[in-house]
Amino acid sequence: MTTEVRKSLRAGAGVVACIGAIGFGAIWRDRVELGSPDHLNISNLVASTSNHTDLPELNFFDDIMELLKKKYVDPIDDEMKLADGSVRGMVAFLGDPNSLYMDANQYRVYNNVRKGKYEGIGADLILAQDKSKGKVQIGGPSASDDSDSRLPKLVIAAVVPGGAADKAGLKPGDWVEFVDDHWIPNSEAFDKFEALAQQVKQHKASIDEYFKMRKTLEAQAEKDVLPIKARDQLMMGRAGLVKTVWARGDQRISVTLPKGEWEMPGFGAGPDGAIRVPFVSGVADDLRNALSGKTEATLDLRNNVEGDFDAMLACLDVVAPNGAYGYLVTEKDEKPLELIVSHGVAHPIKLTLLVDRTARGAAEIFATALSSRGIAKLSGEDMAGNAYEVKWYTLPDNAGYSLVTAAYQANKPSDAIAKTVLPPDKDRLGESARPGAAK
Amino acid sequence: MKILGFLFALLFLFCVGFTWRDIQGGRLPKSQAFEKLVGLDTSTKMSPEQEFKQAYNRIATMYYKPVKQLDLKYAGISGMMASLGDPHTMFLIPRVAKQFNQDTKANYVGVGARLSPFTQGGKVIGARAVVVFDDGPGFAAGLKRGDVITRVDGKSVAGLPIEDVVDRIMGEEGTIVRLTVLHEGIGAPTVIPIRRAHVITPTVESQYFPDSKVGYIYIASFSAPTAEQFDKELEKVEQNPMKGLVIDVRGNPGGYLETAVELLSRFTADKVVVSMKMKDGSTNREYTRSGAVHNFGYPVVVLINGDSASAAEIFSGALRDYKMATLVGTHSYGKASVQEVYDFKDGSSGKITIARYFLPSGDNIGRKVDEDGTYVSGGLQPDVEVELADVPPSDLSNANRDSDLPDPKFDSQLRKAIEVVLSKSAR
Repeated sequence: MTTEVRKSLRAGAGVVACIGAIGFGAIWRDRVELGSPDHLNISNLVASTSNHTDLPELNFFDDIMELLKKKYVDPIDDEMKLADGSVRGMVAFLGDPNSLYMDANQYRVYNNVRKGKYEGIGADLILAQDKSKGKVQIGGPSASDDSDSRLPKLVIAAVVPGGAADKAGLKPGDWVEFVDDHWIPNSEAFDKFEALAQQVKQHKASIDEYFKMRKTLEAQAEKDVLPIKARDQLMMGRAGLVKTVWARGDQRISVTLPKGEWEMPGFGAGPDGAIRVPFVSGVADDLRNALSGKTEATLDLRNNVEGDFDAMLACLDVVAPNGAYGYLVTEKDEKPLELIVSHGVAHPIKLTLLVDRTARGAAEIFATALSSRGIAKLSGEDMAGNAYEVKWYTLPDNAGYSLVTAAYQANKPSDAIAKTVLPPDKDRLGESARPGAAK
Repeated sequence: MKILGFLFALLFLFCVGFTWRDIQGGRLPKSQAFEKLVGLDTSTKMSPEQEFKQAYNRIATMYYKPVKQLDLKYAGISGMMASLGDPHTMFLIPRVAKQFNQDTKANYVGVGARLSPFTQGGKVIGARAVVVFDDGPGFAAGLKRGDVITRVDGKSVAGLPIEDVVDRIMGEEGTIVRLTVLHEGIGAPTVIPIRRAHVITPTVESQYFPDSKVGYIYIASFSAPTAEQFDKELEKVEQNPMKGLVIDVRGNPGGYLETAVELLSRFTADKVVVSMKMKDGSTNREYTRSGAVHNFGYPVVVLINGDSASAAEIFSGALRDYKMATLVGTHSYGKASVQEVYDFKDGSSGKITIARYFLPSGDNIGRKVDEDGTYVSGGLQPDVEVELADVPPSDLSNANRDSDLPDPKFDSQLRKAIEVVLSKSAR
């Protein structure tokens, strides 16, 4: 090789190295600041096909933060509060009742609830969107982006047996309308008002009635409270009383409830012999021990509202033979992930699963997966219709947020049904599922 | 030696890449990032920017539904600005920013009409012209109040949000837009071609009540042309014998501070109307100018309510502090702060509170709310408090007047205002 060629090769390599160095630097900046990218952490069961979207121009955030620091009338001491605010804004933007931003206090309560430890009135309350009439009610995220979205209701998802709410006779599905005399605005009240206005126009109701109702609504609206704040009042605090009015159909239940500390029954056999399986980490080992040597068992999946997805997957290993158990789908242009058990049991035992509307999330996926493959029989009532995989993320100052990452389906999603969430397997539940919160 | 130099060059270029976003943003590189790079900073504490980016990436990639990334970014910025807890510091997405800009300037290119959705059988079939400005090109071309626009340039607007209809009607100055309209929403459609022109939104309207000999001026907002429009309307009502004047700023959300000061210059010269306390602790005072004082030979009442805010409160409050008007109505909103709007290159804007203000009397009228957001105190308290009484809808429909302006027959607050102004005039 001539020295000329060598020289130009070397120069070329130099240029490439120089460009590479710049690119490498930029990539490392992201690495250093953001950490390694997230992976769908579904352990050994599912093949991950997470795709990553390119970062658009993001300096915006920093620029506007600098502007606020420079111009805003009050000094900004806590920049993390700004970041938390941005996360809150982004999560709220999704408008998804299962994807929620929680401040440090709310997140603490949430994490305790996931372990079965409750404070407040001893009930788990969720925001449920009730969709306009004529549409399928789904307790979870809205299946389509309706512009005429209705106000969410604050609905009891589960009550702790023996807790204040339970003792007062409150049941899952009841929704709260007043907390400490503050009104939680709901679409039903506005519907009634609109209906009355129509009646007045048709001379079927008196104008006085109309004014009376408007006065009442105005007075209520004057003293209203956001559902998410009412939820805090009901689920936070270990002492004191809270005055409430609940709705069950047309019935209204007024009750003053004491706050306290309550615990969902943990893993173990209940008086009826059914084994309660709360999906908390480590529960799979308990389940394995409890089932060893048995040929038949009944598992109680009720009061299982914020179960851990990974714990549920570990339990599948304990009871299910190797194979495919349905799909985790997204509404994005992605291939559905198959839910695969690869460390399962050789000889599954005969299982009966006790379910009702308090079996949500991981519990509902567990029950549907097993029943759809004939591994288990379902007994009880319809489930919540909320078979979502939800992940939790902690922020630096102990606030946090939940995010729905997939919806579960027992059957292979075709393009047509990939957009909606299937109700639990109809054959095994007798009638079509009636998910959602309020009747 | 040469190789060593080359390696140094590579290291330098790596640093350039590493700090490229800082260089682009025109600021000093963050030392924290470097410390993390070389392992000096092992804390897992994230910077605010990192927290934002991490959540942004997660939501964009992990959420089970498609997420519009730009909207997500805007939601994040909105959330950041909302976290300051100041209801007047906010992020405006490009569409809102455009509207906001138009509203405060009250000057745009269009046909000169205010539109609202027109529904028939529960469906939006077009846009109804609820107001057609007398001096706009639409009026000149024959567009009438109550006309329903069903097509723009031949294309149906049924089912479109009103903003989109407005977007289609607006355009370059001097170009022509063809509107297909149904007169009063009925009859055969006619096509009206209109040459788009600069339109100045009327922000001031007036009427005269001959029974009581009281003039009435309604100020919708304090926009750029408001003072000039006020002068014009004042001249109009003053052609009648005047026992008093009612200035209505109910529902007036404010606008330019400058405009409020200019209007106050009609009443008093060289007086402080507002003191602004700035971020750095300094105080800025705004004075009325001299040479613009109008001789009001009669008492003035200003009508306020809970939606009178900002510049409207400065206007009403200063008039009262200088004993030049009586306030009638209900307490005003209580916005005791001044905002500046910063435009960003993508068309969005940030509205940021930069100062708090105090009225000439030294009062801070800042709104106080309890933790549920319910009003506790703040705003201007009226001298004569009167609520707006209910009017049966049937009575209203009988009114059938040509004007949007309130009628003392149905408006209890206006009735009271006239009563008060007459009692002052009798004295």
